[in-house]
Amino acid sequence: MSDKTLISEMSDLLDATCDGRLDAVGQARLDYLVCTDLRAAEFYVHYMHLHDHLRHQAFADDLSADVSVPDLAHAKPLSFFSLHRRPMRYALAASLILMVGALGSVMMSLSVKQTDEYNGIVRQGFASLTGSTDAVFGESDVPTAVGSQLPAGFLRLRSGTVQVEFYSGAQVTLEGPCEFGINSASRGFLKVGRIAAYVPDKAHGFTVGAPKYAVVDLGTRFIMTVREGGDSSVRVTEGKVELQSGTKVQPLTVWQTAQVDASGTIHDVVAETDPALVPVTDSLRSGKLPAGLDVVGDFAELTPRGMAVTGKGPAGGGEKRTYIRTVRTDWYQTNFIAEVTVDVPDTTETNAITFFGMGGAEMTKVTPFQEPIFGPHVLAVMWPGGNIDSRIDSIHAEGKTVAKNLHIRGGTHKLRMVWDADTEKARFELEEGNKGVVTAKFEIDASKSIFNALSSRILFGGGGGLVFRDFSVTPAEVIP
Amino acid sequence: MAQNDRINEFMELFTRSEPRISALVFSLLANWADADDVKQEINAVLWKKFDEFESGSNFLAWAYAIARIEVMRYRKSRGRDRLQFTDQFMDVVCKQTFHESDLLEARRRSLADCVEQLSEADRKLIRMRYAEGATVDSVAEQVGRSVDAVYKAVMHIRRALHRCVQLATGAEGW
Repeated sequence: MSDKTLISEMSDLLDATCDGRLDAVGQARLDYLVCTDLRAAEFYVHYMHLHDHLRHQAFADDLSADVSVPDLAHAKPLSFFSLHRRPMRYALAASLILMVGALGSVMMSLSVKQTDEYNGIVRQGFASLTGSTDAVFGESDVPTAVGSQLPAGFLRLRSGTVQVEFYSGAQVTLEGPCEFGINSASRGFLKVGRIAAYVPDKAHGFTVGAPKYAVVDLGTRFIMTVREGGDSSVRVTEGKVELQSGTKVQPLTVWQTAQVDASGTIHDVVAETDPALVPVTDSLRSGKLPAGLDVVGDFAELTPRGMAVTGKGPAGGGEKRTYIRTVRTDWYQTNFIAEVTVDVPDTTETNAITFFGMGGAEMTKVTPFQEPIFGPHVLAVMWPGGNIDSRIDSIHAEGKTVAKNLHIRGGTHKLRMVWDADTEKARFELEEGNKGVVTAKFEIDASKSIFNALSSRILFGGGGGLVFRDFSVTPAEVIP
Repeated sequence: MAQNDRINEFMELFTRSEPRISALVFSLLANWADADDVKQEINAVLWKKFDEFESGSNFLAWAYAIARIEVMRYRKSRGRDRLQFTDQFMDVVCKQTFHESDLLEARRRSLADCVEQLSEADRKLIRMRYAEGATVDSVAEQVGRSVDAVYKAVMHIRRALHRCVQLATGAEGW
């Protein structure tokens, strides 16, 4: 049964229950659903608790004048109950609410067993940590080793990426720094950071809460960011979601992005054209960086010649590398041809290394070399030799030398990357002198890189002295 | 421990747990009259057996277990004079409630804020519906609308509150 159908039927049954209208047939049906479907059991418990709390608690303030506290010191123990009036009970509860946390932590540490309704396996917790790349964790409430089963609690990721698969089937990728909570098999909570969620059919209704609002997935993929201070955005890359803020519901369909402020108010629902159908093209010579690109590093200057890396120093990171990358982070799902032209200084005074490819495009945080190798990546790294006639002498990828003794002088050269999303292979080409003739060509199998929707930007850049221009990414239905 | 200290300890633990126990009992019986009856019994048993409760251990888990036993006992005493859920249903609801205890508590705490977000008219209607002893019929009579109209209006408000609480749960973490 789909989530939508189940929620609809359960809602009707539960409202009938709450208002005393449930007949024998309805009760039998409710019994069956709760006993056979974890989603129904969760819904039932949540809704019945709400109904009971509405009766006892939600309007307690209205009754505050009625509060009376019995003199227990002189009362027989059982007389507590005979004196026990609702308002007093909740006034006391309010005064003691801070103590609940201690009990809560005890409860949270308890083992939670769930039966996977799809394959009958008894599992602990609500989700599994299925993968990680360069992950550095802060103090987390839940285990952080790959393969761990996750009970309720927060994952605190300082850097790197982590994949979590909920037992409902929803898959969430976290990009550090990120603080993400697991609430149940069908619900998470993004306190701060960025996630990409993929929600298959069986997990429809999967919900990610955020401060002041929530995203309910109606089937498919979305990217959600919560910044420090509470501002956030949601971008749907496939299908449809609902933003729920207070009692307001805002549908969001594919290629729409919504900005949500810290109070939960939804602003600026912007529709964009499917980026898979739109080439990214920019000369980089207008003096202004286009909206689809951003810069990592402190040494970029947009000049009439293009984006110049202005750092100076020896190679190995000392040349103060800087990178341009696409804002779009999920290129790995699309066949594309990316090209960029680079001016390599025709002098041995600088020894800039050129990087071009796809990845998270974060500079490494574990080495001082300012390489964009943080997270999964597929990169061509072009090294100079020692002489004026070898400004590009070798090309490295995946830790191997894929081309050497190229003896390419400084000048204007074109770099090309052809990505096949089906086979996850990247073909790189270098046209010396930008004359339409391929000088060097090689292929990299990136199928083991485990790209995700947050880590597959297209990037180029390198050390001081390089100038990049005429960047383009063209989606291709069939890879040439 | 002096008797007064023991009373105070019980009061503190009970007061913190009572809304959760109440909600569990209602979830198991789905009838307020029955739930109120059995809660009185549960409260009495909790105090009567409090000497067996070890200070510092999990009061809520202990109270849940007693509540479940008392509900089962009550069901047995009522026999077949009214509709009852199956034993399996009771097990599932108990386990789900226990597993989600923290989340349920966060939901409970957020409910008042959600009620505040309702329009004045909706808040007034839902307050009337949940007043002591009120029924949909009695509210309909009070507001001069049909029973069906009140039923639907209350249903819509309750579902909106349910959604709101889902969000607020996230805002509180748990």
